Amino acid sequence: MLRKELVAASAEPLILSILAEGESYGYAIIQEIKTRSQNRMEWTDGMLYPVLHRLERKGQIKSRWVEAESGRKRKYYSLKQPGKKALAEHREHWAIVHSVLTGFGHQSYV
Amino acid sequence: MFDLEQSITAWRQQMLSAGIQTDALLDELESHLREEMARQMRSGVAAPEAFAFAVSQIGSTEALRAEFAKVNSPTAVQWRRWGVIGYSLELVAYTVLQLRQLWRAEPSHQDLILGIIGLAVTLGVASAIWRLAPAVMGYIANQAVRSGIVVASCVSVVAWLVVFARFILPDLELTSGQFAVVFLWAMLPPVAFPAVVSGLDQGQRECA
Repeated sequence: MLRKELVAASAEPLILSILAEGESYGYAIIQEIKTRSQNRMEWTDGMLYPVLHRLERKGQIKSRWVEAESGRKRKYYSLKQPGKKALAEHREHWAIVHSVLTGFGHQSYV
Repeated sequence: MFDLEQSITAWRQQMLSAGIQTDALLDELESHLREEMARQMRSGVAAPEAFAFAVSQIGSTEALRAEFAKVNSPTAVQWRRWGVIGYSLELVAYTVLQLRQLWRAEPSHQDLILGIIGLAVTLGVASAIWRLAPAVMGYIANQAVRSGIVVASCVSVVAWLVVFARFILPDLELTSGQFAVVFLWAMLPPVAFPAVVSGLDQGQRECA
């Protein structure tokens, strides 16, 4: 199970990545993260929403309510241009951390 | 007998009293709750248990409220923007009032020129401090030193005003035009002071 701090720090880039693949809503986003991480990233479901609202406030994503055929209402989120830029930046930063970490791993076995 | 709608109403009430107050947000959380419940029930869990599980997955209302409070409070950027707008308005108001004052004093040509130069220098110094202070303050790592700079400049501004009004002005014999000019130059420190305070504030945020 991943540390809480790491889960929190990766929340924005993960949400942006999921939305980069298409419009989605809170419940589906959580399920996607759980599936992709094989449940190793433990999210308190409610905590997704403050992050979504913060991203929306920062202008990186936008939302709209959609009524499903079943009559159930869902709030769909999608990526905006600044969100794409932010995601590229997140990826770059995580890649730096990743390359530094793996670099150390290789060195120790030389 | 378990009544889903009643349970959801009670749950919303609980969220409301915990401080999660917008309808749109509660609708969104409720939608999540129903999805989770439906999924549980599809895998054979009975409604009351499914509901309890979905509620527990949403997490503690206290933690949620705290997170949403952070989202809704103005960001540093917004505070900065309000600061810029407020200070700009203050400078514009000051300029208009002072020009009016200078004009009314029926100044000589020389006084008029000196007065306008004084005003321009004041505005220039104030905006230069506004722009440069955050960077300079950012270099000063020690919080106590930064606070010291603000307190010291505040004290100097007040001291200057007292000295100017009590000791310098009474000794000068000025025409009204000259008075307006001297006043314009003397107001430089107090007009520029808010820029120093903003510099501390901004420098501090960038350090944090």
